[in-house]
Amino acid sequence: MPNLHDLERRINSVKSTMQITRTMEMVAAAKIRKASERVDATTPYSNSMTEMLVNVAENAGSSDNALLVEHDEEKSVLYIAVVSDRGLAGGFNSNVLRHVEKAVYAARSEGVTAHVVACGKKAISYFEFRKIDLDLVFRDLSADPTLDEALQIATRAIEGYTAGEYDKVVLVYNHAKNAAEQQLRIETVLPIDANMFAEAPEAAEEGAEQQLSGDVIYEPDAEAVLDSLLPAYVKTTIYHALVDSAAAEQAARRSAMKSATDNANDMIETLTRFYNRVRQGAITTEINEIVGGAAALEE
Amino acid sequence: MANLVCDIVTPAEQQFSEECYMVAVPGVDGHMGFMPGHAPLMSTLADGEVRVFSDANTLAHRFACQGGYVQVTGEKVIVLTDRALAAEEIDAAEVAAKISELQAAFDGAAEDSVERATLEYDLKWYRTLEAVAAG
Repeated sequence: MPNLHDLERRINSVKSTMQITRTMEMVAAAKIRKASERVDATTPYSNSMTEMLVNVAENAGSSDNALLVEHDEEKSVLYIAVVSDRGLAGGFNSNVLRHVEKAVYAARSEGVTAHVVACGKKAISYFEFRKIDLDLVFRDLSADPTLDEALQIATRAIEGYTAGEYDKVVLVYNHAKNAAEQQLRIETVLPIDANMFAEAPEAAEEGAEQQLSGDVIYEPDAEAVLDSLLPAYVKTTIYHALVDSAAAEQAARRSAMKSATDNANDMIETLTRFYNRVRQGAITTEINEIVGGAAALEE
Repeated sequence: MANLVCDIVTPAEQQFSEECYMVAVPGVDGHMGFMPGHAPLMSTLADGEVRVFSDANTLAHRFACQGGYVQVTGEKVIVLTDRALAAEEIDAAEVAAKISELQAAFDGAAEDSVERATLEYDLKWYRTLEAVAAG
């Protein structure tokens, strides 16, 4: 039977852990608001961007822009893994990392070279430990993604794709579906899927009123506008993913910390009950001994 | 008379949205002005100044913008730009300091490096700010 002192110590330790998890839960809850505000702020730009691209793509006809052209063979794939700098967010990091790792091994077994860009310290340590080389790393930015970061990734991806270094660029991140749920998203950034533009108008119904009709003047011309829109579109997609992932991270941490706090509460309850039983047991034993001793004396 | 709605949007946020009389933007092939009922147009933009007029004689807002696009429908002008800053928020002294700092870093950076491209991009932005601040 464990002694009372040990039990007491365990209860205290669980209590202090609970204090930490509860605080983290509250901090994450506060950060969710900020992060989702940022997602909302980036939405007008990416919506307008997509809308413009749809309009231009229709008018530019068949473009042979390097970013739209699919490479004949898939020999080299670039994965962009967007995770967080910190742990304690439940399955947030491992979902993305495991997916990318699997994809990398699958690609290798088919003789395809896989390159990885890691955003977030967790990705860096995970891949370094598994001896997967990283093309580009970003740290200390997961909670506060910047445009510069998105720009660097996009530049690298576009240059690599145009030069034939990569045949496909895939973005893997967590989408903040709502405050409690994250969704793993795997998006092919390059080549840009031209079919997507054909479907987009129906998806963006609210933007329908702004749909340009009739002849549109392009300055300098439709192809030139398209050529400059495409890289910007890639950049926007990546930036949006980073911001989205930052919001998902806070949401994931909040729910992870909430269940940790709940578990700690349950544990304290169980331990306290056990503690009381042990204490009562000790008292009973003591009384038994006294009564037994007195009875022995009387005889 | 129907007015024109002008939106200025950067990747980070929607900076400005207001009704106005006319909008002038720096197109790649020269400045362009839009008034209500303008034919649909789409253009890439150069670095420079976007001017918003609240009526024929009043220049209500000026923005420094870096690159981007403009889309015009009859009643709406959407300016999508990498960075934007209202002219009255530009701090000329700070911009001048930043330019000399960036210029020094730029001169010191290795050819063809990633930093050099980033620095050049930043430098262009501050030059634009300087030009806009000077009017």
